[in-house]
Parts: sequence; C-alpha cells; structure tokens
Amino acid sequence: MSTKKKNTIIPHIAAPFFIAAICAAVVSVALIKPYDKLKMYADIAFMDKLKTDPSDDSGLVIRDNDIAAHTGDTSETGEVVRPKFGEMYALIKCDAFDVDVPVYWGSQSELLEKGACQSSGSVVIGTEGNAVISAHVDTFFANLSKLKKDDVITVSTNYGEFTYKVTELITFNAADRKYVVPSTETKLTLYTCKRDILGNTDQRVGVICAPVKSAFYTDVKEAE
Amino acid sequence: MKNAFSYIASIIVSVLLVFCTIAAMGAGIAKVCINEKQFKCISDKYDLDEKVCSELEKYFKERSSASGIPADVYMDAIDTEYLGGIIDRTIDNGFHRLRGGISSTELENEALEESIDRFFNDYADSIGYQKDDKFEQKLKGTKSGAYKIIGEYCDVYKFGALGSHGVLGKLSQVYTRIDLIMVGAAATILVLLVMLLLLNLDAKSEAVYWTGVSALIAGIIGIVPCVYLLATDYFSSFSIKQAQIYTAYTETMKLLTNTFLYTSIGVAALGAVLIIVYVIFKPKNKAQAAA
Repeated sequence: MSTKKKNTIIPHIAAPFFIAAICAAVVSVALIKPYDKLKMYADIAFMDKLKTDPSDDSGLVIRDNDIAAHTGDTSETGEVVRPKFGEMYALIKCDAFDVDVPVYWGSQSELLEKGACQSSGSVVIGTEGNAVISAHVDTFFANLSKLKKDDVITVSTNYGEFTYKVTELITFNAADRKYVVPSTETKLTLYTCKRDILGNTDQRVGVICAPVKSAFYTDVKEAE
Repeated sequence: MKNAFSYIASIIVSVLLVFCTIAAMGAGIAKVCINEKQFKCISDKYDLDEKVCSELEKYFKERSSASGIPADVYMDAIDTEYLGGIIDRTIDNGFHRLRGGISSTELENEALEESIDRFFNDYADSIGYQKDDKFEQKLKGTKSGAYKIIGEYCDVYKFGALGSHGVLGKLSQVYTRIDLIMVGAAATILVLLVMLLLLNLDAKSEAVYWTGVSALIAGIIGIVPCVYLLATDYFSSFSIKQAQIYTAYTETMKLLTNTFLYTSIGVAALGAVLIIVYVIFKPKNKAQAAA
C-alpha cells in the first residue's frame, strides 16, 4: 500500500471518531446547566427500580418488613435507610392506638389497605423536614382523633427509634396543602379524613408532632 | 493545504448535520406520536376506561367510610362507555389547550344525579330528616364532588394538573412550533448537504462519505439512550401509580422511545449504506474524482 493511499485512508477512518467526540463534547457542555434540573425531575418522576413489575398494571410492588425490637447501642445522630416505594419501613406506636400502625412508603389505595402511607414527597423519618403520614379513618387512624396535646408517639424503623410529642391538633381542607408541604421545621404530621356523613369528605383532621428524641441504631444492616 | 481546509470544514459541517438530523427526527416523531389520535389509540389499546372504572370504584369505596355514601350509588350510574367518552374529550381538550386554545370538560350524567338524589332522599326519609337548605347543599356538593373526581380520574394524561402548574403553557410554546422546527431542521440539512458538496467539489463522492458518517453518528446517538431506557425498563419506575395514569404515560413514553429507536436505526443504516457505497464506488484516481 502506498504512502499516498495510506494518507487518504487514515483521515477517513479517523473522521467518524472526531465527529462523534465533538458531538459528545457539545452535548456534555450543553447539558452542564440543565443537568441538575433534569436529574431532579427524572428522580421525582421515576423513583426506583423496586417499583418495576411489568406484570402489574401500576408497577406497584408491596414489600413487608419486620421491624424488630432493638437492644443494641444507639446514637442521637445517624444515617437513615431510604425505603423503596411500596415498602413498609416503620411502625407507629402510641397509647391512643389499639395496634401498632405499619407505615408504607408511598400513597396508593393498595397500601392504604395495609397500613398508613407516607407521601414520598415528604421526608423519611429521622431526617429534617416534614414527615407526612396518612391512613383511613375507618381502619388504622380510627383513633387518631383521640390524640391530645403532649401525647407521646414513637416511630420505630430498622435504623432507629424516634419519639415525638403532639403539639397541635389540626383540621384542614384537602385542597389546602399547608400542612403537607415540605418544611424546614422538623415535624411529624399525621392525618386522616374527617367523618362527615353525606359530606364531601374533603375535610381532614390530624396532629402535628415535634421531635423529642432520636435514637439511631449504631449497628444498622440495610434490608436486602 | 486545500485538502486540510476541506477536511476540517467537512468535519464541522458534519457535526452540524448530526445535530440537525437528530432535531429533525425528534420533531418528526413528536409530530407523529404526540397527537389526539395516538393518545386515544393508547387509551383504547390498554383499556384505560376499565382501569378508570376500577380506580373510581376503589376511591368511592374508600370514601364511603367517611361519607356514608356506598360506592354503588356512583358506580351503578357509571360504565366504561361513559368513562371512555370523557377520556377522549379530556384528550381532545388537552390538545386544544396545547395548541393555545382554551377549553374545559363539563360533565353531565343524568343517571348519576338521579342515583345520588335517590340515595339522599331515601336516607333522609329513613331517619326522618327535614330536607332543608343544608340537605340541598350537601346534595349539590356530593354531585359536584362526584363530577370533579370522575373528571380527575378520566384525565389520564393529567392535562389539568399540567395546566394548573404552568407546564402546559411551556409545552404549548414548543408544540405549536413543531412544524417550524421540522421544516427548519430539514431545510438546514439540505443547506448543509449542499455545503458538503461545495467543499468537496474536487471529489464529489466525498460528500457521500461525509453524509454517511453524519447519518451513522446521528443514528448511534439516537440509539444509545433508547437502548438504555428500554433495556433498564426505566419507564416502569414511573412515580404516579394510579393504574390509568401509569399505563397512559408509560405506554406513550415507550411508543416515543420505540419510534425514536427504529428511526435512529434506519438513519444509522442509511449512513452505513452511504459509507459502503462510497468505499465501493469511490474514484480510484484523481482524474476520476474530478470527473
């Protein structure tokens, strides 16, 4: 093969790689600014793989965990284990409730039949912000209205136990989002429907609780 | 020197050609896949009316614990045909708004209103309740509440929520310009092809090579994200879990991704063919090239 022929072949072989590299560089530079925003929207719209179940219409996978009693060491600070959508990850205990109320991550009618649901737009128990949990008034939160100011509520998870005290009793309209939106203040919001025979069921009743004690387990093993 | 200039200029033009091809593909696919016909087709194919019916039944059953109104009061007056009609109207209105129009879906269901009337009157009679203003107010509130919920559940593409959050307005600005983007991208592709031809006047077959390379790379750039999205079953983790919304959105996204994937494969194949044609038929000497 002559040198002249080699000189024409090499640029032709290299050209696609040059073009691909330039295109990749242009795309990368163009995405620097919108990347964070796009990632945020993608993270909200497409949450995690555990929800993937092609056999189910809604892709919901319900996962029950055992919240075992902990006897080991605890710490005031620690890491939370973010639950998957449809996963039972906490138990609410308080004197007003007859039974411990399981808390599922996500809001879906199938989950509301199995326990209380925590909005995936709120914060995981143990982190700063507003943790919003709701349940049906005829099942798991039937006794929510029995809670009084200063009542103590304990939320157990597999990574720690968190104690709250009721600070405020609330009544609000479902369209009024002020109690369920994210907040900088760390609190636990529990609510259910207000019984209103022949009513429009838009009214909600609940409690706001302030954190009293955080006990993170120091020997946490993430659920497989 | 002239060859070096022609080579570098061809690379730059090819890069522009890659992006214009992707833009043209994107706009074309959006035009073909994002319209009333396709959305209604998805609604029919995946029986969204039945899904809405079942979700509504679940909702009214849940609410009965707080309101005391049995789900049958609503569900006896609702069928899939009625719900299917509302889904179609909501899609039509959504696209009307996407094109810059203003519209809303007013619901009517005589059987539903009669069923609610009957239940309220029977209940009031059974407990000897005086049918006063409060009674009428609750009756009216229940009817409007039922229509509101039916409307929300039939809005399988969440046009209402997208509108109230200002997303529809932003999408409208792009959607109303799709034809313009498509024509603009196509015209730019033509201009770039002419430029490639002019840059390679000495060896016109080189223009075939550069066009082929551009098409091949544009195709590959289109294929890679589509394969990732489909291989990881990315859309299955869509957050809104109401069956009808989940199905409507995931199936639409799969349709868009599949169409983009097949188009990209087509473009990449065209590019590969052009490169092969160039390799087979390229002039063997300078005199042939200039001819």
